[in-house]
Amino acid sequence: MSKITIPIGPQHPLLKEPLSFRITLEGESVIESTLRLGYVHRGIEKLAQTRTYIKNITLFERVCGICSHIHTTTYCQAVEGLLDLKIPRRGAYIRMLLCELERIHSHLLWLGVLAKNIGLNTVFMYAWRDREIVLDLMEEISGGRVSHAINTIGGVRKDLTQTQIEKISLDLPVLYEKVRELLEIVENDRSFSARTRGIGYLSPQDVKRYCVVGPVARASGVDIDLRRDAPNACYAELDFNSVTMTDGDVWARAVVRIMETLESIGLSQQIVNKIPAGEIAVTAKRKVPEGEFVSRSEAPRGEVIYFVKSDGSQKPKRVKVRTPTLTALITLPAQLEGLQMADVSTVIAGVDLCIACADR
Amino acid sequence: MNIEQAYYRLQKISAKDQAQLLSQLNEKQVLILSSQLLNAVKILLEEGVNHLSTITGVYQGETLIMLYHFWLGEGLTLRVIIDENNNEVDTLTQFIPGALFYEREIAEMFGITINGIDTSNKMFLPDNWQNGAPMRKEKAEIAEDNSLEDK
Amino acid sequence: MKEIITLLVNILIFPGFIFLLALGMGFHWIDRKLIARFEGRIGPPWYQPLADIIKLFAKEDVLPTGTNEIFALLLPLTSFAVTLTAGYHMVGTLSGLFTSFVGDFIMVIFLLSLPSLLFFLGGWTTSGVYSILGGNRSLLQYFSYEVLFIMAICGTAIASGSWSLGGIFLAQNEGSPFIKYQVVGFLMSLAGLIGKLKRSPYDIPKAKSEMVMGPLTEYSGRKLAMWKLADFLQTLAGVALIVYCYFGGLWQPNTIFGYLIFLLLMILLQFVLSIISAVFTRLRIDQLIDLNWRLFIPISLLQNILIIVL
Repeated sequence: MSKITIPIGPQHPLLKEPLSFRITLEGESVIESTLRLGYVHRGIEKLAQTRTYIKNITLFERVCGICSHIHTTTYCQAVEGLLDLKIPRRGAYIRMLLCELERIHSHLLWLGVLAKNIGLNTVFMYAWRDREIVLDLMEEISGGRVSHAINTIGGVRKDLTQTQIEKISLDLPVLYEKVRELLEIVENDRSFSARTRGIGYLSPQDVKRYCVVGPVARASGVDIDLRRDAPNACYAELDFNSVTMTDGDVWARAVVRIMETLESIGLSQQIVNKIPAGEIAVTAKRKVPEGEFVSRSEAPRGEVIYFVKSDGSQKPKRVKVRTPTLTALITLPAQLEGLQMADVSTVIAGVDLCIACADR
Repeated sequence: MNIEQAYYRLQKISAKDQAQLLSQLNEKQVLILSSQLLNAVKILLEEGVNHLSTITGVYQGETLIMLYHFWLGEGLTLRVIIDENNNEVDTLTQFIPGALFYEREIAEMFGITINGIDTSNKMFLPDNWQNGAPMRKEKAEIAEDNSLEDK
Repeated sequence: MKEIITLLVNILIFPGFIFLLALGMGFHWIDRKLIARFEGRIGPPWYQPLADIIKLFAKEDVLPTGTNEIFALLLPLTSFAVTLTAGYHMVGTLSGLFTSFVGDFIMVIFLLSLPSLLFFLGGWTTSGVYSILGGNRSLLQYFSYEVLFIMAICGTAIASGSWSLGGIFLAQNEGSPFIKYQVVGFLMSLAGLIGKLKRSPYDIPKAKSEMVMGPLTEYSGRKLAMWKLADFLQTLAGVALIVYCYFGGLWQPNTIFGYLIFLLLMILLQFVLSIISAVFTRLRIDQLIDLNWRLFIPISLLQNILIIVL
């Protein structure tokens, strides 16, 4: 059988962001694949060294479009740690609310992309239609659908009004019902299962060896969730479950993500019910004392880690960002081996890709 | 099997004489020489600390340091001093395959040689990049953004 | 002289060129609107397919270097021509314009199976990775689903004892429409039709997320427009054939009422096709072939044997 190399990307209808795969096929099965990142590399880490701490918030929001809020949250936590600031509880609750809403929106987006890639256009349309509810809520709270600009060093910039809280409490149950329907489709639909079960299996040992994080790890049975294990910003006061499954294939990842969405809807409701009164921010000094800080948090795709080093001036000496997509990309060549050509698109979509995050 | 135990054992092989290369960090950290890296990683794996979050390259004064951020319930950072003369460090990929992309990024951005993996292909920078390692201290800084400077 | 004018009117307007194109675009619009409504969208306005074709004709026509330009033009043109002929014959027989002759059933089936072969050849001509791989898959699908369609729909010919469309119609007119006794055959020929038309869930050759556009990746402009028109007409003719063969006796030929009933049945069938497209995911090529040879073909074989025996 002759070998043939197919390029997927950098431009391909399957990919939302540029990424280059070279897949070598023999007959119908994949024998090898290589991956090339860097098409959206913007040199953000180097750029962050030339801007002040406050201006860097705007920069880090634009690392990714889908998980922009968690990036600024983690960065602000790092800088607040260096300044030894404790943000007021109301500010922390507002941050958490947007984190959870962003998680919902990211998972629904991903479900649509997976469904489109396996040919189930109807689920794509339904998931993105339900996502509009979340985007409208986020626009109510922060003024922007995907780019919120609500974090600042010391807290948040905008407060939640009572009308907003009431609107959130009205919309969340509606969203819950719709996501429940999507969960039923994902769990029970025969054609969905036929395309996603058994595809792209990762064993728990592989997950640990490749240091995979997020829903991909939880779908293989490795229970790591930073909201529970290293809670930041008042997550310790809230009550939720982290979802794990043991199947380890694309189907399990879909179920894990949808069930996490349901948990996040419950969390958002708790946040809105329990939000304390008070200030939303404390003022922060411009000059940050010397030191280093490592800050971690749980983005929709897994663990985001920020390392900020300060040398006593107004600009950071070094900021290092590691996003969770990079951990999943390492496993892709291993997952793709032995699969058929038609499953390649399922696997690539099943690992929630956010190349802008990975490239920075 | 926990991180306290690992920290205790690592302290025994740390480079205590170069304490000026430590900096205040919110996690446990251990300063070691680059020759001790593989030993340290073996100790960590024996104690069950096998999640490597990322590898950061940073300048402490004039010396280049590589930070290996590990995590098991809490964070632990290995601070590895890179010798200026030979600028190289061993790869972790035989123990932790997930370190591959992080090591390649460091090799590309800081110009460090990683013994044991192939870093000739660029990962983030374009294939025809000729301007050396962007994060190196000697490289000219990009134009400072002096507009709207805070007082 | 008068015959020539009548002939020209027939070929160009009714039931020829313009009528068939209008009807084909109309059915395509029904399909798109239905699928959109199932997905919760509004869907395109009625003139959308026409606007698409006009736009395609106005676009630049580029091909990769090294492609055989003559073939690249002939293949879509032939595809368009054969589907037009099949449609013309079907509508002509239906309206009593010309009598059906023995063997025209086979002729229509043959004409309707050519576009799939030309589809594959189209990919082979403009060789590019996606075109060739998509072409290979389409060939696999072609072998499987053409056989299924032919086997299933021949059940009606066997039951009626004649190889002409008119004969099939007469047999149903005297007895009862074949749908009553050959439900299984009807379902199998529907499955075969979905495979021939490369609609979801069998749209692997055209799957955008896998093979970009399959064999048609490198076509643009007028040639792509002709491929699309061939697709519309193949759908039209295929649906018309199934309605004719299975629902035959339900209308009187060459009456307004008869036309309306026929049109209604065709729209109903299009409904069914759209629902199936909206509800299922795309099957993988091996699942497709598997389903076909392990399930569908034995069932239709059994059906045909039963027809012959009973």
